[in-house]
Amino acid sequence: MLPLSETQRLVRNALVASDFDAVSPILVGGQAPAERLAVHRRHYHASLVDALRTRYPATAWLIGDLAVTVAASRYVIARPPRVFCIAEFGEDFPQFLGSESSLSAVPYIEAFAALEWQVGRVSVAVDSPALTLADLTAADASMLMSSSLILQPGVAYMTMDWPVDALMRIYLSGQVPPQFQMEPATTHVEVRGARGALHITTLSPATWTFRSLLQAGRAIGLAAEDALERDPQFDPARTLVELCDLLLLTRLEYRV
Amino acid sequence: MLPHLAGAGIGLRLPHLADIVAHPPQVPFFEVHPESFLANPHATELLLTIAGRHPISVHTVGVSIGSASGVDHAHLARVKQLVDLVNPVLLSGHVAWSTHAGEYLNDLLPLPYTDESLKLLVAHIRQVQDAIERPYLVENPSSYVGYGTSTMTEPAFLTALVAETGCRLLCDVSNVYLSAHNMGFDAHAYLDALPAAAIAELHLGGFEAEPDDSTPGATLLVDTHGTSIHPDAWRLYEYAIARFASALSRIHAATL
Repeated sequence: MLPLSETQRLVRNALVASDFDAVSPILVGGQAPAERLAVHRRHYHASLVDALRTRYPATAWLIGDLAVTVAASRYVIARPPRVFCIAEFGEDFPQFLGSESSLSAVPYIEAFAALEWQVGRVSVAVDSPALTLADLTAADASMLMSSSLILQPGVAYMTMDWPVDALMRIYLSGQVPPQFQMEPATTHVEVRGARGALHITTLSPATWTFRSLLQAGRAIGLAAEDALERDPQFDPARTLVELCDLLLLTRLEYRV
Repeated sequence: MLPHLAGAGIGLRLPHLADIVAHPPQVPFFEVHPESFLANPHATELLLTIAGRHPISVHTVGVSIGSASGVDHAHLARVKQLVDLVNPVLLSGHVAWSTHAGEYLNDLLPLPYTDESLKLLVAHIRQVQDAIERPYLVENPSSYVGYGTSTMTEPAFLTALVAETGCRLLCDVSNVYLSAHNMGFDAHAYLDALPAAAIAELHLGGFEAEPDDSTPGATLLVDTHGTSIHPDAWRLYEYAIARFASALSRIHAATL
């Protein structure tokens, strides 16, 4: 008798790779049981393609629903989910779109779709209680520079070769101008969301460096040094005040 | 020991959360799929508000107790985290498999009913109950195709699972109805063969008829939960209520 692991491998290959020949002999149901397994194959395919179309509506707006559907159909075969929550499926779909030769005329598609992934991720976040300026000034000054700051969970920092944040703002506003021109340009963006609300902010390179390094867990002093390398005029103290005003900080962690 | 829960609940999906919070309906309980919430803190926040007013039944779709490659303990830990927050009155999953070698196939796939499958499920049900620290009900699947390698009927397999693990059953009456149609067995005899004392919850949902590609002129019933409940399924439900009355008078949870 075929071991269960082998049976499941054959069924998996039928679902993902449409290889029904190998599994047919062990199936029962109707006159041609493999046709019945096609119900599961269709569900696998359609449910995952739908999940991607739901996850990337702005990308479909940009390149058309058909283009996203075609790419998604290829993607679900090439890269079956390795996550158990379908809302988490498709994080690398932007790279897949970027590698599709049929989309080579849209060189910013990967950046735009990657931005959309982050928009979807942060918009369902829930803010934590924010650190106030009083909390920060009450901290041990001698340890502040070596400490790290924990940012709100619904924040993402992205740097992109195209200013696709402008395109995303157009999509989100629903106000499409008669003409829109875009040239390649390195863009630094903060995407912040909570409970369905969303803000996309273009940052200066130094501010972006400081905030993204803080988010990555870098000590305040080291993050400030990197930001100052990008812009000698960068003011870490003023930026920390701004971060408090924006309710972006949630916790200070001292490092021994 | 399962808690007493009388009445018919309804499945709760993400698009309805905000309305349910704003306008709490008179419903004995709601059933949720935890996998819909694990990547969505805002939805979880709304769910916790609802859980403060209504009993919740948690019905897993991604635990995959039938996978030969094992239960994913990282996923189980995430489910437990949500379960601990929601404190559901019931916790359940499917006699099926969804994962193979780390891939998640996003469907509830059929198992061969063999001693090997039984041994595997017994071990996995124990693992799930140990990890989540709650009783785990198991639900009969909707079937379109089976395996020539099966050595026992589905009711016999479920009965053996109950005997080996002490778990209770979630009897999906619609699944019994459509599986009986698709696989050619008697639905009433199926219900008669289940261990009545082990039934803790009933399910009833919509299904759709489509041409059976395996058998010219025949129809296949597909579990879509997308239509109203068929009158014949309602009649089978009445039969199930009568058949399982002694168990359901203690714990009656029918999710529509």
